[in-house]
Amino acid sequence: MMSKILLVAINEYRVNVFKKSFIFVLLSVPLFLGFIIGFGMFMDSQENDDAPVGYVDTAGILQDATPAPVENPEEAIQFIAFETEQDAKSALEEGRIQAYYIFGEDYQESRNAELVYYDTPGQDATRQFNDFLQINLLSDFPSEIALRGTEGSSVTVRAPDGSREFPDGGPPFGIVLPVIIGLALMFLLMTAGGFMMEGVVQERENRTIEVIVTSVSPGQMVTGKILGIVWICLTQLVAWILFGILALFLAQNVYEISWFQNPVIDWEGMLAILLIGIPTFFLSVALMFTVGSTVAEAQEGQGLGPIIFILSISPTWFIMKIGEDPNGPFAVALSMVPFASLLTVGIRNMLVAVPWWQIVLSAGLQTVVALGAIWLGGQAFRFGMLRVGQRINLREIFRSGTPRRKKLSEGGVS
Amino acid sequence: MRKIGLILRHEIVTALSRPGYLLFAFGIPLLGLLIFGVVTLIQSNEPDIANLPEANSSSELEVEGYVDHAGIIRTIPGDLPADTLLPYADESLAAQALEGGEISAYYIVPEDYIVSGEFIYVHPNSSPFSSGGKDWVMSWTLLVNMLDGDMELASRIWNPMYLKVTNLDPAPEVDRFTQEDCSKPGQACESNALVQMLPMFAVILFFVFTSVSSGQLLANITKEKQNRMMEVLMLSIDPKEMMAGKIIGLGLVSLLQVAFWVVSMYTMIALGGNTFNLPTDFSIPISVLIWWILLFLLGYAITATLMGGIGALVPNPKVANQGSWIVLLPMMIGYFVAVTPVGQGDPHGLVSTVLSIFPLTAPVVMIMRITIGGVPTWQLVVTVVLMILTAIFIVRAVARMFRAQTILSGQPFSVRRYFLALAGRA
Repeated sequence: MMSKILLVAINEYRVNVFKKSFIFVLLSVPLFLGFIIGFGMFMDSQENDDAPVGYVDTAGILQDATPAPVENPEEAIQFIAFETEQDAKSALEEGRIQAYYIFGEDYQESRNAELVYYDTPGQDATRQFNDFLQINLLSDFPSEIALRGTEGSSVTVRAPDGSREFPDGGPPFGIVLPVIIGLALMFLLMTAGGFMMEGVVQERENRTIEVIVTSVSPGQMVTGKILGIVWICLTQLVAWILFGILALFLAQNVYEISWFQNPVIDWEGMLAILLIGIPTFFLSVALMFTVGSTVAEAQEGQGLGPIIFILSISPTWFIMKIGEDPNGPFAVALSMVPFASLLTVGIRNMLVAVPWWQIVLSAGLQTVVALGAIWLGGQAFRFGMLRVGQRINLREIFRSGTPRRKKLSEGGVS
Repeated sequence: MRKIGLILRHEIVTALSRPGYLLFAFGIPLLGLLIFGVVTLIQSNEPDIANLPEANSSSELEVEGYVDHAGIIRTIPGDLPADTLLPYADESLAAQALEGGEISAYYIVPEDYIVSGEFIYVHPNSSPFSSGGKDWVMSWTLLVNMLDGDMELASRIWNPMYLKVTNLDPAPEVDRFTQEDCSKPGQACESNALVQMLPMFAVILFFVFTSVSSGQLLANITKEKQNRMMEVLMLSIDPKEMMAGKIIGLGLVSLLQVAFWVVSMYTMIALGGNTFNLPTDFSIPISVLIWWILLFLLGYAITATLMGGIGALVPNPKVANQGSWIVLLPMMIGYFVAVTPVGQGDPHGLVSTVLSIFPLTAPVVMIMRITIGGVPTWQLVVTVVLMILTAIFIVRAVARMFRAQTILSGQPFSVRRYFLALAGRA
């Protein structure tokens, strides 16, 4: 019995994994993320321009000017003093500087200044010039006060119970990680659902099911298929985790991005996501299995995938509403809706500590719905196994569950 | 001709009887209008907060506490209302006061503030999406105190320049320093997200319309091939007539859908200025709506005909889905450019201009540029002429593919075979 289940599972795994489209799916998510990040970094670099910036200081505020410290000295912009506006304009026209500032004699009273350029100066240039001006305005103060006045303050917002902290207003990597895991699970359940439906409908569509059921029981076939699909998902998950570790290593050690340094992982958040994600995964697979068992062709059942996807990503449409009141009635209600719950709880957990009773209730609801869907799938598969090329509706499936109809369907009469 | 009419009518009736089509074409815009109506109704019953006399006064600041471990705060800046900041000796006392409702939040200034620059803001609504925090109050207080209470100098450090900007470029584009422009959709309007994002929404919408409606044509053809309906149809109708009937029929259905969406959007924007907080001088010119529909029709004619060609060659729907990417790829490139800063940030730059004239990417990129405005008329004319010529060429090429022996051959599909067939060499 076991060997037959394994045979089905191995076949399912081989058929789906050893083909180009699977490799494409496997690599698409990390490559897409890498592309988006790379593109973002490229666009960011385009906003910076390391060409010098000039200034004409008739107010006398930048005489014997002290340079402001720059976090990365290689990115320091050079500031060049010009005697007259004409000199600065000539330098701008010759491309020696990207822009210049003019401080008139009345600057001390009015604070008026002028910025002149042909192309918008880079953000780094204007920021560094601001620092340069500020530190020189504070030249009479001790250096540490002048530096603090120039750099300003950095605020960490903390919840009164200390459960959440947002340095500079944003959540740290450790808190965001459960949402990333939630998103990965979401993509995983989408692909698993797709594999499941294709796996079920394939044999019905090409009529091989009539041959297979002569040597494998429906139970063995379903178990083997589910096992194969779980292996496929694990392959995907392992590949994504490896990509994730590589990306984290690069971010921490090569690019030295501070957001990724010394992350404190939110294990409670991870547990919450897994508690909701696992039954949601089985719900998706069971629903796809049910649909696959009822349609005559794979194409007919493809409408369910987008519905699950839309439901799963729907919390992103309400992110402002959830964010404004993460423990409010709307956010709590959305946390209970199948598929939407995964991302909703992920987003809420990023902002506040989600009460455990809500997580348990949501996971319980998803489990009950998933069990219902599995039961329905089993009924649909048994009832529709030999009705090749025919569509089966829900009413027929439910009726097949009643004792009289069940007996008839088991006897091969529908 | 009568047979084309029959096919056309069949396609229209079939599409209009699909619940999915009705929901997407009419259900979603109607739902949008309904939500918009309810929101407008609710807003009309609420008082206009912005016009209340106390709205802009300093009484907005709630009483907050602070625990100053660094010993910096000796005075509260004179421009803050009295008792805005209350000192506490330690965090537990401040936490008690917060719990008791005496203060709305409190700050902790650590001993090493001067070196680290960090302080903690304990707030009941710590969510970054919340607008409840007023942490600038503490930043300002600390700055004033570090500068020995010199508010004039602190103010100068807080905002060192009132900057006048001079762009010497003879034809300057709107940039982050110059004044924003909210009279038309695009990046130049920073204060209104809807106005800023409208070109992107238009691109997404028309990309979806074009790809879904042309995909529907492909699905219909392959379905009829699979269920052998095609073999029966071939007996009584010329393949070219069948293709023409299908393309025109589904085109009319899609046009109805686009028109309904565009009219709904226009109605909401025209009537909902207050609801969407639109600037008073904002409007979408009727000419833009006409260009949208024209570009959609031409884009549909090209894409759907190319999809029809795939439908003629593929043996089954699964292969059709894999083959459709050849047709959608150029449009996806255009889409990617149009919704990212490459296009949105520089709508009349070289990349955007070239892609908006190239017929296979024009349906999305030109829609983005037209929505933003400022496209020279000659570019519009060239684009439309090129799209019409391309549509004629492709219709002729695909018509050659619609022969019984090609449609019913069952040969495997390949990209090479598709291009050879388009070139008339297969």
